[in-house]
Amino acid sequence: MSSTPLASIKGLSKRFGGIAAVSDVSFDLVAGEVTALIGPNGAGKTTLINLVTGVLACDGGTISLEGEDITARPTHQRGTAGIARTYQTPQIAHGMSVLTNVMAGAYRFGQHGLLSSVFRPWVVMKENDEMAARAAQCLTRAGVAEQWWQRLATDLPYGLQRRVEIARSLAQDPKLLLLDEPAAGLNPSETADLSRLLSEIAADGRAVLLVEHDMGMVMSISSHIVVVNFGRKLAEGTPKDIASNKDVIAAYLGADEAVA
Amino acid sequence: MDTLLQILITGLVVGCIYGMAALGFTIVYNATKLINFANGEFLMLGGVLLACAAQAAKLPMSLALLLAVAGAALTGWLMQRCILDMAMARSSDPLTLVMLTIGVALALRGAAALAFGREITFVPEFGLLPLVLIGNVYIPSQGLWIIFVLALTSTVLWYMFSKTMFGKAMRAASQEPRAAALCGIEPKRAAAIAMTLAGALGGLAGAMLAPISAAFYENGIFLGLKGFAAAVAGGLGNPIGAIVGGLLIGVVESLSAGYVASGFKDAVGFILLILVLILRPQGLVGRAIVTRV
Amino acid sequence: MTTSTSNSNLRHDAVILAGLAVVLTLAELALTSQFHRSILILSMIHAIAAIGLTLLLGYAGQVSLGQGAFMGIGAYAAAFALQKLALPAPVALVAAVLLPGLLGFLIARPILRLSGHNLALGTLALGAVFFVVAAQWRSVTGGLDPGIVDLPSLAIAGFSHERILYILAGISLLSAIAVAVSLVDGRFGRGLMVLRTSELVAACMGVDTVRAKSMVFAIAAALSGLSGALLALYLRSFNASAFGVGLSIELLMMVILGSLSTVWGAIFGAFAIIVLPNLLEGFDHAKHLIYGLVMVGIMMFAPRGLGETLFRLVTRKRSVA
Repeated sequence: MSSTPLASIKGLSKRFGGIAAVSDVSFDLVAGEVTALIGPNGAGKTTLINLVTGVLACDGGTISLEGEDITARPTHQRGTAGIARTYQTPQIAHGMSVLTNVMAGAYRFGQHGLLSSVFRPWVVMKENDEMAARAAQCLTRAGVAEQWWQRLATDLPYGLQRRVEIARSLAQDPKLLLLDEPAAGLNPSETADLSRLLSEIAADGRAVLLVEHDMGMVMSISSHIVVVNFGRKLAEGTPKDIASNKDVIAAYLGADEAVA
Repeated sequence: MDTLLQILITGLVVGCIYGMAALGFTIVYNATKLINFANGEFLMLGGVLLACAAQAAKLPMSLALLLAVAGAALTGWLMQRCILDMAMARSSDPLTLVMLTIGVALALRGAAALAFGREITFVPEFGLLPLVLIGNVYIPSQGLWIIFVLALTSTVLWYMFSKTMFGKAMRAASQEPRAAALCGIEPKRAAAIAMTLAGALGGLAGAMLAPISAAFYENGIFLGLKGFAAAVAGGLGNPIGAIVGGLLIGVVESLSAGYVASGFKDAVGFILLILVLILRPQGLVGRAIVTRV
Repeated sequence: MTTSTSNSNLRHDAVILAGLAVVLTLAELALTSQFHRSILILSMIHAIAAIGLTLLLGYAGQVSLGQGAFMGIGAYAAAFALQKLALPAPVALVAAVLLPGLLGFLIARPILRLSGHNLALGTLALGAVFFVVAAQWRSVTGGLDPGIVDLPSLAIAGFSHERILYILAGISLLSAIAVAVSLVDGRFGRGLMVLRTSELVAACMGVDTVRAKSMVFAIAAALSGLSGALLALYLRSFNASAFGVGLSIELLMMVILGSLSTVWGAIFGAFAIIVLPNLLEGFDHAKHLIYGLVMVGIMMFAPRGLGETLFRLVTRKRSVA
């Protein structure tokens, strides 16, 4: 597909105490494609997301976005640069409506900070309207019906909270979107909706990194799959390659099979 | 040299009180992970109750002391049973619980002011023990009492927590509530026992302190903060650290009163608390055995 | 998006603000009793500091048990500027906003590394340190006795000292509200509210959380400073005991009596805390006991604020930030 990747991860490592949570993992993320990151529980998938977003500092390796090394940048600068994420359990801000939650996601597009707020509130009001329009678009796209928008976000059912979270990350207009098990807890029809949505999001020209256990979903929407186990990259390739890879099958079925 | 020794002894005696306050605070923290802002009020209650029983009711000192300790312990038990149990079941938000204990502290202070008046009362020394004079350095009789009581209570507590089944179950209660329940101590009961112990310890410390620094309904804030400072300096959750931290704060305060300016001595312990919280949250004493929350 | 709801609360807030301005003006013209006027002045003054704490605690989720100290710093700064430097009152007020604001900003980075109960402990200790220093640093503060005495009267051209203070406090309060509501209305405020739930989420969406928290802490300190300076100007004599830990707790009471979700709650809370002791005979005697019990009750049954919970019960509306 496209020749230059949007983001590259090279030799990334992270240790917790004596345990290597991630060691020497490298792969590329290409704009317009869904890349899946799979592996057994505890393989280091969430740690990788935390390293890419800068929530954790890595012990070795580099992360670059659009050719620029961002390894040393703090989390908020990566957010501003266009890296957005969702969480294993939805992290919806309490005490805020659905719409405000998603408007908050558009933070990086605001021009007006503290001083403008105080001295030129009318500019901020206009900006709020723009952000609300953006948020409305994202909510519609993520499939959250308008009847919910003024409700407290934490009052929504679980499946809808997941959608609100995706809408919030879309409001950030991400170049790179990292999704941590977005299908967990969803029923089959919700999962199908989600698959369609994620394919569309990638088709916008964004790079999507999908951490997911639902193999049907992974196989159907990703162009590229990276398999990790015990913090190491085990295999990498197209869904077809991965489905027939012996190491991967062994890792998923257990060590006994690998020995035999 | 004599002056320095005298200052150190004064510091150690007051430090014993801070250590006892810190110990109660630590026992509660270890049982329920609660930071009890009302802990200082137990000391205030100990002092005020002793003053009331000994001065106003003219009871013999031993009986008055017993009443003071029992009163503070009962307060601790009631606080856990009537308020905290319910609140902990409703919310685990640390900020809500912190403000709740601040509310309890205010209420106790207010109740003490209403019940015992707003005067500063002085209590006679316990006596019996002599004033020890070594060269030009002396240890006051009440100071000996305080050192003796701290040694006794900490030994008893140490034995109870590390040698008996009951103590092991108490410790397990915070880490592994289900396992502790199997050993016969439910988390709720462990919480009530911990708060009662903290009340008793605080009451005892406050009563021991009353003869050297008077009893006053507003004493709780500063005594509580110094107890926190001691517990935090010793590494939050570490009982031995709490005592060492208490002695440390007492000595540092006493040194700054002796050599810098006596008026600022109260500030020294608080500044130490802020610095330790920010720079060394695992505490100054020993290695970090505490898991940070 | 339905057309009836606006994306900013500002229009709504502006209407209430104008209403409040009218009420305060009418009250000033109608008030004949010195006693009633003093209650209103004190309520307005304390509400300013409580608004700062609402921003910090309610919006950013950072507790401070040391706000009384910043009020004290404002009070002493104003007194120093008036007495020792012989500066005019408006300049003294500006100094009383800037100094605590700057100090707050400097302290914020280290102290806000703490969170939850450690932050409560740290700020409580900070407040206690301030009290000890204020009580001992006699050359500047006058200590506990006599403290600061005989600040100049602000009476000019037929306007009494009280009347001038009423106007000053009123303008300050209205400006503080205007600043606070516009601050929380834009993306800065939304960033804070996300930060309250999770700093990680806020950071990942691009909010510089350390900077945002420091700014709020500084603003809360500056508003406290303004409040303290007005109190100093009004009372004309005071000592360190006015700015002890008790004041910090009262400010906290004002916020939780009102609301943790809107700055308007602070006005209600401040009014309640100032009026009650003056209204009820013998209240002062049982003040701590009552405050304590009320605080316990609120934390158990209405942790987002008493006023807010009652308001929601009455209107049966789910609040939307």
